[in-house]
Amino acid sequence: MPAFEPESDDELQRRGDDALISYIARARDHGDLEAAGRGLAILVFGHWRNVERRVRMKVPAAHVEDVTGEIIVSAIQSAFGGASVGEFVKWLARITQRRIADFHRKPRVDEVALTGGEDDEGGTPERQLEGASEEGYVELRDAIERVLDRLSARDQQVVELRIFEDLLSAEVAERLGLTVANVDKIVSRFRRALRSALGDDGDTSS
Amino acid sequence: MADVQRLFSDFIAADRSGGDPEPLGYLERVKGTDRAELEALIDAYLARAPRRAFDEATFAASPSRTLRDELMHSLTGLAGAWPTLLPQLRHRAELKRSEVVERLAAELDAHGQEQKVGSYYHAMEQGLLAAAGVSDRVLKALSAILGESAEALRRAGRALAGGRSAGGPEAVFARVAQPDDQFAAEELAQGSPTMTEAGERDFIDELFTGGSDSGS
Repeated sequence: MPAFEPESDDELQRRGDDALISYIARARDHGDLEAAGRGLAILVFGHWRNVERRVRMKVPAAHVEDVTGEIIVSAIQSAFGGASVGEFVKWLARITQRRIADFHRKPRVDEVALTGGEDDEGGTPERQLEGASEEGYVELRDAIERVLDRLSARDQQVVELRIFEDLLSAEVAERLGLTVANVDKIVSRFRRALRSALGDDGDTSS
Repeated sequence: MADVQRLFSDFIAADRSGGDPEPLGYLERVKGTDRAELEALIDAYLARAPRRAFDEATFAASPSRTLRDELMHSLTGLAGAWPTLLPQLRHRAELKRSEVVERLAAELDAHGQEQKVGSYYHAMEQGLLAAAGVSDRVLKALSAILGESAEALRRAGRALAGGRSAGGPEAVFARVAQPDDQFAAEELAQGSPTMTEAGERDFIDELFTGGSDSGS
């Protein structure tokens, strides 16, 4: 077995997820639990808040921490068990989507207990999140991917850079060798398609 | 009505500047399709977002610290994913560990032996007990208490390849070296050992260390 050298926090931070997971596994296999724990802390902490915020949009506050923990555990266990497919961050995104859908599918003991309780006027807190249903969540998540899948590779790049990287149209245009007008047209088409996929009736107020 | 693109850009700017914005604060400013669009965009942005830079102080006060500790037990222990799964199931069922132990002892007809059952259950949560040694009867009893199937519990005990749960001589029987404070204090008060020493095995030892068919 090749020798194992623990790395500094700075070095670990620079590693991508998959390289970090590989480091943690090697540290564990060499019995360096301190190094493994450090790497695991950077991995778990690094993803916790982003997953938590995704969960919070669709899951009642009382369950956010539990569901977030379950998602991260599931993704890390899959990575160490060899069951994950592709990049860790994409696997984590898929598990997040699936777990939130599961949350709305499975009846929970505490939900049953709350039904018909004191909060009769506004519904129970479990039901106050807009669109919080399995179908609603899957539809929402699928909408982005569905619309992106219909675009050409170049147009997908435009959307990723302009929308999700939040670059200016001029920056995207320069990077991809397009005109600003062309970038804006592609983004506008994407947003119209997205709103249509989300059930918009043609209102273009925003 | 606020503009979706502007709200989304504001969210990204706040996130990148370390402001830690909450999506719900932005979503409540729009309705209908605008809200659905903004939610889809924020969700997709967060799914693509890179790992956050590590911060020791924030980590120490975060639930991610507890989760890291449980994952370490899973990665290095004898019980696969039990150290993460069992506490999760317990929290979901809103049961304290002492309540799980009490019900587990009752399910196993181990009346008056709650201390010993508690020590073994603690070892399961800490990854100190070889999953392969735990009987189906114990897992069925836990299934009834925690609301997860016995098969899923068995699979979880085998998860995390590369950990010691995969096998090896030490995986056959593990003695609990350090029970948690609650059980340690109770044992001290009663003067009882955590587990029966070798040669004095009883049916509880068999149920927790004798293998899947023991005690059936």
